[in-house]
Amino acid sequence: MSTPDTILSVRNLSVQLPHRAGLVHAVRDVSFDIRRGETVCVVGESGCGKSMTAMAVLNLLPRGARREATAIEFLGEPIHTAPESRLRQLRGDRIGTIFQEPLTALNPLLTVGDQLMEVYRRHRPRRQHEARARALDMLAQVGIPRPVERLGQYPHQLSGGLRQRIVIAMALMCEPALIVADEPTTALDVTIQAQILRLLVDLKDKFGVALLLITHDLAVASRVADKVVVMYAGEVVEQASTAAFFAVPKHPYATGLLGCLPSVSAERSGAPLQVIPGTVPSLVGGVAGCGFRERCRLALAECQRDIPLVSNSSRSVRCIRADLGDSV
Amino acid sequence: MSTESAVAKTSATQYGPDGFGRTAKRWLSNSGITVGGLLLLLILFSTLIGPMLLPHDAFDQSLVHRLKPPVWQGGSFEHLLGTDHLGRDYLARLLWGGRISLLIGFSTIVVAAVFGTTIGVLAGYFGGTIDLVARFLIMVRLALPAVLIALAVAFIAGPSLQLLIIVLGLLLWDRFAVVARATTLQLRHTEFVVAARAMGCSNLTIIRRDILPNIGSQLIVIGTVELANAVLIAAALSFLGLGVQPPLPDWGLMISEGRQYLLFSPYLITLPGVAMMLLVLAVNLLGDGIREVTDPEAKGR
Amino acid sequence: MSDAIVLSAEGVSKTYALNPGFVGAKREIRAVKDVSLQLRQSEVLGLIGESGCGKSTLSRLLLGLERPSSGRVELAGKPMEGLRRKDIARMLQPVFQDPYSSLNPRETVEEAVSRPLWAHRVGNAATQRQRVAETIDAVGLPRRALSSYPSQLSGGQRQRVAIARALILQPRILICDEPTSALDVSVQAQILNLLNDLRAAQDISLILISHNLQVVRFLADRVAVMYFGEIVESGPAATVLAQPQHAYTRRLLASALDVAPGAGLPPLEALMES
Repeated sequence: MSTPDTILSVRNLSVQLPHRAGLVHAVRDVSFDIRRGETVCVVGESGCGKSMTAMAVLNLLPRGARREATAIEFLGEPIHTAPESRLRQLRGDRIGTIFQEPLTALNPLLTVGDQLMEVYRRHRPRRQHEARARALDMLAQVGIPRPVERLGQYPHQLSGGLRQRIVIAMALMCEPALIVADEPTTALDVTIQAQILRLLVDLKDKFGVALLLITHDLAVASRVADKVVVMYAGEVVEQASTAAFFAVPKHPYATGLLGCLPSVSAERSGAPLQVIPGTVPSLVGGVAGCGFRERCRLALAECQRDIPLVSNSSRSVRCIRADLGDSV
Repeated sequence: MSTESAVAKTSATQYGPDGFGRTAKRWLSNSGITVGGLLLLLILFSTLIGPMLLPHDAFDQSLVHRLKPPVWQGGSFEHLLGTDHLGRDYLARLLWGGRISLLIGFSTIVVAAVFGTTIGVLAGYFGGTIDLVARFLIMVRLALPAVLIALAVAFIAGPSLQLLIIVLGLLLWDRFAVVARATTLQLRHTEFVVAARAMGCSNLTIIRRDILPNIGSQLIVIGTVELANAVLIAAALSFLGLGVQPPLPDWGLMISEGRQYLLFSPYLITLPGVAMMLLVLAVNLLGDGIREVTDPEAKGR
Repeated sequence: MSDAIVLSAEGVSKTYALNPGFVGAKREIRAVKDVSLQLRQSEVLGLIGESGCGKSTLSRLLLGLERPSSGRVELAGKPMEGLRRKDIARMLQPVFQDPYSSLNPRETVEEAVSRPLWAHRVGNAATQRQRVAETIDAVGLPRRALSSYPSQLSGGQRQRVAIARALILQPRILICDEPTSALDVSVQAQILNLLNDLRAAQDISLILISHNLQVVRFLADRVAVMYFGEIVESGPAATVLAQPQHAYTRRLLASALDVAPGAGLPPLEALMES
């Protein structure tokens, strides 16, 4: 199923979390591939399971969570069955991670330099003497001025944007093949968000790293992704190349979501924005049939059955009303 | 985190009155609340009703029957828990003593809670000079050794139940004040309090409707801890002869009176000791349980 | 849209004393510097800025919850200091960012929405209930939600409750501080439509404080851009957002990303301070 070019391959991933009301089926039957140097964006609204998917891949799920998958392969190595010690080796080395809140990703008691070098020393024990040079180099790469001075500073002495740059530098320290970034800019100011994203994408291209970007922002996805994975109520509802998806989204939820977005450049017409009526279904105990059917204008009686993901060459859609055709 | 929001969203569609049934279920499924609550109810019930059902009065002396052992140590069923050095029925005295302990505990907590919460809420809400004064008062209180002060006052003014309650109340208010102040400080900046100010509500209304209901559960938890504390300090004072005065029975006093018979009639000390332990345990279990179910982090909505 | 000015600020500054303790030198921070703005009848004024630019302080000054260190705020032509809290409340109401903390968790929806009526002693129990029901309808909440507590509602529903509470005294002005930034986009669209309907139907003026240019573009007639406590650019929304003059506005605009498949991100030079 995977070509030599495949960096990460996820097959039929499901995550269940215990909750007072019962078992929450947070992620159901999610499959996707990331190829070398590719950017894949997992998009969806809060509670759709996009973060849980990333955490499940990294084996960083909260305590009590159950993960099932027929395969999670990283560079051809099955990591869904690998012990935690192997995952610990991979994280920070071949897989870089960037999370939403840069402040909590850094240890407040250690200097920036210590933390950067620590990553290198842990994963490259034989090349310890290079750690400092490598750290300085990475700080320069992420556009931090006066890197020598910054090495000796503590996280609280830096702004949010600078901290997130440090986190990116840390993720890139050991030349990873994949970076998993979960809403890396959400906690930042708008102007800083765009800067950090730009930086991340530039570095990814420069070092040929694949990027799994979890985001709620369709605009960001449209601009940086090669492939878009849209999640709703724990399931992938549509998966397509960015060009194909944004040209004509096929799943009614995806169409609705795009219609909700106000635009800054369009002329103001006074017309209301499109809305998606209703609310997300409960994920407790799982969802039978299409999770979107109660909010969907196109729903039919058949939508109560479980809907398979149907694919053609450029996309997969989980909707019986979607006309995939062969034109796309 | 994202599961929480998923679950929150779904529960959003369930309208209707506040799930009183659900809340009750959550409270009752907590073992601390059920065990502690039942134990406390049992103690309350037996101390309030018990003495009326017993054949013996707690104050009737009978030197003929003095120091009768409890029934499992060869005593008679006439006096289930035996008698004390003046021949008074020990079970009746134990239950009577429970009344006194509970009276002291609850009254003290009411005094302490009213005093401490008022200071804490005012300090947290208005800040500035009021807060400065309140913090000074709390600091002064923390610097005073509670038991020693109570002893000194009882020694100077002469022991009396009312005085004991007031002195203990005025010594145990500090935790109420600290917690009320801290939580009020947090609440003061929440948007619903700002919204209430913007809609023209008076400070009194805001304190009554927005602050107090939202700090209530924390105060109840403090209340249980301090209740246990008050019972223990009162017992200690009675033991030293500066609290409850004979012939009124009190667990601390009973232990003190049993001291000289320790060697041959140890039950005179162990029984009130066990009773006190059960009361403190019940109250602490209940407090822990309430903290668990009302803690918003553990609640997960 | 008439030209009557309903709310104005003239040369308003607000200074906070930092470190007012016993030791250490006093430092001052100027959160708002010499801000002047006018809100006209039935107009939406977008106040754009990022965190720390002073927009929240400005909103508290405009709400009359704090007094400016210098300058003056006028509500319907009268100086704010001379007005009683309750008179201000009848004309001016806030809507906050976080629908989770803007409602008292111990109050039902009905209690929360009827509270302004109760605080102002408007009508009797029956007319109050009637008015609450009408307002709940107007913000698109089902009436069965009246007996719910905030924890039983979704973020969007809570924000509707907060809007209903702000509307029930029929104020002439709403000051919305990031009203949708805690919400998902599909819910954001609902709330934006609601605010848009309200200003058309109820002749309300809005001050919309937001860092989100898309949101501002959708609602605002005029905009003012705040940067480090100052208004650096203002004018009709269409003009400012199409031809920004100030460097900061240009940078903000470059950072505001619309859906544009394959367009990539703007170059770093456009995003960074020069």
